[in-house]
Amino acid sequence: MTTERAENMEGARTAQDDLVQVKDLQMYFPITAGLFRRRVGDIKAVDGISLNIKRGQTLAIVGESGSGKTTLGRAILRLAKPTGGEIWFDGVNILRLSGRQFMPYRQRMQVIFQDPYSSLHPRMTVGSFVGEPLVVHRLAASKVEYRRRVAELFRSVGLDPAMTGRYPHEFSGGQRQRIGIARALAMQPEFIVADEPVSALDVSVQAQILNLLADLQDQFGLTYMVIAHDLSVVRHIASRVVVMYLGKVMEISSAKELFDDPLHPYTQALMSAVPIPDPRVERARQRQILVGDIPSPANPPSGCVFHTRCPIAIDECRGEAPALRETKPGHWTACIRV
Amino acid sequence: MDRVIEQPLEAAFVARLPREWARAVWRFARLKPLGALGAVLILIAVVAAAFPYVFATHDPARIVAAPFTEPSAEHLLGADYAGRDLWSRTIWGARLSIMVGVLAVFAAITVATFLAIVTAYYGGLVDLLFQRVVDTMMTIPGLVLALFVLVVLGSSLNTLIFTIAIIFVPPQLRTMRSVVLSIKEMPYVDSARAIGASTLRIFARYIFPQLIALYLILGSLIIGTAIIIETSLTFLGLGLPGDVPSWGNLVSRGVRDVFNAGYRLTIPPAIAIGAAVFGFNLLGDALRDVLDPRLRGSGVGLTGRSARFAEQIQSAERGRPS
Amino acid sequence: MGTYVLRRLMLVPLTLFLISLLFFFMLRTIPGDFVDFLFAEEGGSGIGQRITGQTGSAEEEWERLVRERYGLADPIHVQYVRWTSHLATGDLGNSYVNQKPVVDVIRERLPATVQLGIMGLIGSVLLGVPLGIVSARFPESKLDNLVRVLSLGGLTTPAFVIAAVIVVVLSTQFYWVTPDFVPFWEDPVTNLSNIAIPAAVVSFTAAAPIMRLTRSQMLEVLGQDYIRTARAKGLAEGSVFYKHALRNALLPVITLIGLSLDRLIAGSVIVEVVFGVNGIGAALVNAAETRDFPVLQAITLLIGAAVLFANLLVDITYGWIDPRIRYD
Ligand SMILES: Nc1ncnc2c1ncn2[C@@H]1O[C@H](COP(=O)(O)OP(=O)(O)OP(=O)(O)O)[C@@H](O)[C@H]1O
Ligand code: SF4
Ligand SMILES: [Mg+2]
Repeated sequence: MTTERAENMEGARTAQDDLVQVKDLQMYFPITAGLFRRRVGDIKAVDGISLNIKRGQTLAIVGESGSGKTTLGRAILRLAKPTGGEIWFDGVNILRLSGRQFMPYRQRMQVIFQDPYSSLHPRMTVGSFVGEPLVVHRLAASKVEYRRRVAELFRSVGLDPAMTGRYPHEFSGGQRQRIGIARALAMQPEFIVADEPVSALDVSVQAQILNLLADLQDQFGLTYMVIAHDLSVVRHIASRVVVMYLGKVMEISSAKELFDDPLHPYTQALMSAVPIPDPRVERARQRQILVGDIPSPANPPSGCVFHTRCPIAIDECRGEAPALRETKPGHWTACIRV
Repeated sequence: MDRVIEQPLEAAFVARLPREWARAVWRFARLKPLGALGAVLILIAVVAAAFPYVFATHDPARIVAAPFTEPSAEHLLGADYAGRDLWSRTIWGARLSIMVGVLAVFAAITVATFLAIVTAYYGGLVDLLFQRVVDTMMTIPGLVLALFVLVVLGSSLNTLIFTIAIIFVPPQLRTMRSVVLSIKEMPYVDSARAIGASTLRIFARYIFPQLIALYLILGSLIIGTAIIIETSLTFLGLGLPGDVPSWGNLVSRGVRDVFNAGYRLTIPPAIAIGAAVFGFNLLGDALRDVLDPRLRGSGVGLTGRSARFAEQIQSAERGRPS
Repeated sequence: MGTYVLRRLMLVPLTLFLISLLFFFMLRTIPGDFVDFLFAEEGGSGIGQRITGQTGSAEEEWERLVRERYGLADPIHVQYVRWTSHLATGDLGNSYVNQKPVVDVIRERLPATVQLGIMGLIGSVLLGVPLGIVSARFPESKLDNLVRVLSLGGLTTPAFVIAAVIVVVLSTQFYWVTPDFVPFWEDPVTNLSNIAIPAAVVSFTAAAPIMRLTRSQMLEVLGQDYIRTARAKGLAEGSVFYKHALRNALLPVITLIGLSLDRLIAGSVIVEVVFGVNGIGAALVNAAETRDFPVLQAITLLIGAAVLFANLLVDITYGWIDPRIRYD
């Protein structure tokens, strides 16, 4: 549903529509050795990524573990300082801003974490945890208003405001994730990065949280960047999808297009790992299994980083890294054989 | 499994009504009878330290009997070489030892916690510098370092407390720092930064509350060691002045008077020291198991298996001159 | 591994340098300097005569002479450089109390302490490891409980209390008098019989943590999967216990033993004083009582260096025994 709405807006694409623009972002972690902590190499966690996120859109980032998804999300939120590139938020390069100048933007972008156990502070009542942003940014004029706002936030994520005095350990995983979402909503942000928001939850709870996220998006006009392992989650909520591998973008397209016609061999491999509900289709389709492990980002393969595991790799793939090309309208692929 | 063990922790931290507190304490006693025994021993020592005049039968500084008077109903443990009542002197000794131990440890852990938060959070050059200084100070056995500092500062009650505090800062700083490093990486700290919380707020609201359990564990574990160091230094004649009724002095004097009074003057203060230290250790062990099962082992973090293991042993064992 | 050892080795001089700085400047944190301090303690002429070896000057004159003699009139960094360069040539200065070269004091006192340390170490291992193993072999048995109480007692009772109680019991029950220390090479029998009891006290206090760690390590290793597999394969219990578990459990114990040097030192300081052993520890306490700063400073440095090298040795041996361990 969200997907269709976003699809319809695809035509009217202008720069003003983009809430977030990432340009050639780089995040290298130094590897040091020896007595003097000499820099002997880099972990290229994010290596030259560009992407745009339109207002009201849900952009999904998918890729195997270690492909740099979390690092990308943290960089966009300025929780980690990138080593190169630009991040534009609503027309402002936020990497240029001082800490003080950035404060108003902090309010406009928030984060939801993967692990509902370690993302809530165990020694804070859930009420004060959710209300903390209101205190930090002085968003409540009085105690009464503060309480009213917290209660409102609890209701908006489907929790009983009577529970504000309890501690996180008294809640289930799904409830904790709702509490985390309530805290993210407290400052009325426009943009939320959700880092694998449901992967730690029971399957039965996953759908509830995803529906909650979709409802909140409709209600508040939120823009999402959702990081996910699981393609069925992506299919459920994303309007556009970025496929990442070893810190680089392999493919970008609308969600529907990507699922109907994945062009990049890596995307195809990821897709074939997702079971298809219809057993006849499942049996008939060709399974393409990814062999081997993801190479180390400290020492990525030359040329196309995927060539060590690509079933259709040829000699040229080792040469130069393939650029992202628009292989179909709105569908970009980084592969010389597409 | 772990949830069961953590229950008293959660219960104690969220308890607000007296009834909830009582229940948390009761659960602790059921789970850790030895820890409860330790708590009782400490309670006795603390009560004696707080109200010595209630339990002492005589003025500890007054000559109230003939020298080396045998124990009697009037003088429960007899009298020392000057004719002062040993029972009363032993009771008053609790006040000095407990006071020195508690104050020194409180100061040391507070400073260590503060430094750990700041250095671990910011990292960089300051952190490196502090680590080197910590390494250096930990190379010298606690008792030897204390001896040196005391000679420089001169012996008095205040310098003794200060000295013991100084030798405890490095090992506690190291333990606290490693814990802060792991807390710093928790998503809730990221979450605090994401809402724009100030660094001070992150320290006070997000990191410090997570250190309270460790603060209590380390505190109760090392108060025993602090008492050992204080009594040892006093025994060697470098801590509290010679005629002050402290346990270290009483034992030292008892040894010197052995040919006049036998072991009668040595054993009671020796038992008092042993019981107090034993109590703090038992409680510390139990608190560690209950509050932070990750630290279980024989000493804080003793069961790790790495090069850091060696350092951890050092920090855990550090400063016990026994 | 190689670079790790190299890094640790290069840290040694740095740490030694920091130790020397620490002590040097700590001595200078005394308000005024230690000459003022000494003069205030015991008046000018006595100390002045002792230090300069002259007689018959006025009170203020003494102060100037002593200060000159120790180079205290120079700026502090000059003093430090001079002190360390003397240190490098093995000149540790002279004792304030009897003008003896500090090097001689140390040379005279070292044998007793080294002997006490070695015997204490051997005793603590012979006591701690077997008891820890037996305790883990029959957990929760009477024997186990006894060992646990013993080790807890050893951990919680200060060495001076144990030493004092032994002294008073021996002297009242057996009219025993603490004997003088005789070097081993002069009279081995007297030497050993004299040092046996002090060494036993040091062993006991150092054995407690070894006992505890051996026990907990054995129990931990016994709970692990490969031991259960070995048991399931029908290996005899004794063989599982001694062949498989023991080897893995003892690794950290070895580290602990290597690191118990500072415990041994602290223990022998006390024990030497109580039993009148003429060693480094007794000299240290004596120097502290008489404010004999050159001796005090030299002994603390010596102890620091010894602990430092022991730690280095442990780290290197540990990495060598267990190559799985990676150093970062
Ligand atoms: N602070 C850091 N220092 C060094 N390396 C890091 C750091 N953070 C991340 N990395 C490395 O960067 C790479 C990408 O990590 P990242 O967590 O972004 O991957 P991810 O796609 O989120 O994986 P996952 O699905 O497991 O969460 C990994 O190889 C990781 O080891
Ligand atoms: S460029 Fe070559 S290696 Fe890379 S995905 Fe395409 S075919 Fe495979
Ligand atoms: Mg991640």
